[in-house]
Amino acid sequence: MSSPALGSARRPWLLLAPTLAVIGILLLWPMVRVVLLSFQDFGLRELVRGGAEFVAIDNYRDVLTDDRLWRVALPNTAIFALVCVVLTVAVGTLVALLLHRLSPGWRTLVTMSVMAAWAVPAVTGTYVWVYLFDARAGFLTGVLGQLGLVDVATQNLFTERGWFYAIATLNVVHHGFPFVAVTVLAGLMTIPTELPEAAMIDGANAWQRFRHITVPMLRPVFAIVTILSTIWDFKVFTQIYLMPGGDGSNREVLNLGTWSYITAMSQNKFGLGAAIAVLLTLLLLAITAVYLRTLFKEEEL
Amino acid sequence: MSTQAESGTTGSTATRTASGGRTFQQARPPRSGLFLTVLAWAVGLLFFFPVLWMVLVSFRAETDAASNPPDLFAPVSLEGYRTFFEAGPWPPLLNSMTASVVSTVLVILLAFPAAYALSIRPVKKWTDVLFFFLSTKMLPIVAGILPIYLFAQATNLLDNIWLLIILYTSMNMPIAVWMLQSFLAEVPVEMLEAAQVDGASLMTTLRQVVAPVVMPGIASAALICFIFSWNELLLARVLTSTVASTAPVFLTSFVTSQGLFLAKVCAASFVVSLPVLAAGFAAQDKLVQGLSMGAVK
Repeated sequence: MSSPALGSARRPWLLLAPTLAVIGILLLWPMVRVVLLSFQDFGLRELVRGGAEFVAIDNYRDVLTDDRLWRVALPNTAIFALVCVVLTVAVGTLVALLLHRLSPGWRTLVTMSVMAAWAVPAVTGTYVWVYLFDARAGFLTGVLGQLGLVDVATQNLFTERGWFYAIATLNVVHHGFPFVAVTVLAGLMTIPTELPEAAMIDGANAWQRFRHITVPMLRPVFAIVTILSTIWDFKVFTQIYLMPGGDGSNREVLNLGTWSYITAMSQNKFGLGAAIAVLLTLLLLAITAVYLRTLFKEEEL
Repeated sequence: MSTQAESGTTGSTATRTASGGRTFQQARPPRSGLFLTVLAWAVGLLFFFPVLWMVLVSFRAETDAASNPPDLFAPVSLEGYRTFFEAGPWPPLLNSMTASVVSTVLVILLAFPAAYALSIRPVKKWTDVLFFFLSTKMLPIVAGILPIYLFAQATNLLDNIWLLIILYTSMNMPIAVWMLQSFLAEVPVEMLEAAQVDGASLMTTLRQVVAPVVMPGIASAALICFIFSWNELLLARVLTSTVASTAPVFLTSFVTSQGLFLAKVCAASFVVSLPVLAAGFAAQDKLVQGLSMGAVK
């Protein structure tokens, strides 16, 4: 769409420059520092006095040979993120389909209720979930006890890895689905109503209409919400760190984010912490690149 | 790759009918799909429950709040709210408001021309530039904290609200550019050419021709930036102490100092949610319209 009448070829880059500068200085520079740090033996002494010894790939070797990476942090990060992304997108889409069917008045009401889940800060939201599942006083622990799933008298859910991450999943999906719901709803509004109507006359049921009309037309929307959810859910920190044991006191529930933070900030092994963070970033880059490539191939872009 | 290639895809056929599609009647529940409706309501209510529970508990006395199963008819008490406001939440709340509003305005002012450059006057390899923007979001903030802390220490910016404003601006920039780009791609090029013929400068074109058309997109991107800044905990916690501390930092210290007393935590949480709810309500109309214009791209 670029027309020669619209200006010189240099102008787009001129418009991009301020943004690229801000991002370059404030996002890339720390990134470069982190990568440098990951090749250094950087502890408290170096923090105070400055200067640090380069140790080549020692930090990476330490991380990659650490049993905790393969047995604890990586599964906790990857499986958790995968489940969260799938559930967030599924729940968000369901709610969007519901909102789409409502009359405008009801839609405003339900949208605001959905937004409420998003508005609650992650910090207090996490405390509320922790309370709902508290070992003694938790309302939902009581419900689980009634169902016979939990032995309320002896069990503390937060000490068990599976339960800990199940609760974290609820928390993260609860906080993340409103974004998906609102975005998908917006996409649904753009589908001309003639299409599903014609399909209905042809005898397509609700699932077939969703599968063959809604999904293909909304592929770009699903791409946006899936990619952003993937980036967020791999990097979940606050919600894990603030749960009982999430601050490192329970080694079984570490994920890559909290492990990196604890290694750097509590144990003052800044180089090692940086190496963990770089691995997480590489993992995300790889996943997103593969995803975008498949997507753009399908879109023939 | 120009946007022309893009407009050949099915996505934009749908978008072109978008403005008309919105005026059609949307609410017409088909008889089939009852199962889906029931499921959706169930899921919706299930996810609304924790928020509702939080609001209810916030109006209870601490002794009633702890009762299990919860007593629906316990007397209303403002004890939680009193404790919260006595703990001095106003300076952090004001700091949060300043940081969120100013950084959001800055993000939009900077991201808007950038997104314009990427969509209306496509830069060659614009998908690469977009991916670059996105990739800067992949480093966990946790990891960037030490370099940022050292930088703030060296420049004497620790515990300064402007540091947070600058950081939130850069933190939200990639997402804002990404979202705005998809909205701006919808602006018909004829409109710009008409402005050009009339002798409008670039800035005038952006301000008076492009901005009004993509107002919904700007509203939705701004809302998302506002929510992220309002909720940010990690940077604020490490980089501020007494002067510039924000609402989420205050919340964590409030909870630690009060112990996990439920009514107080819920009251505090509800108060801190209100500005986001207000912003959401204000943007709701434009958000749905706006996203529907851009997201399909």
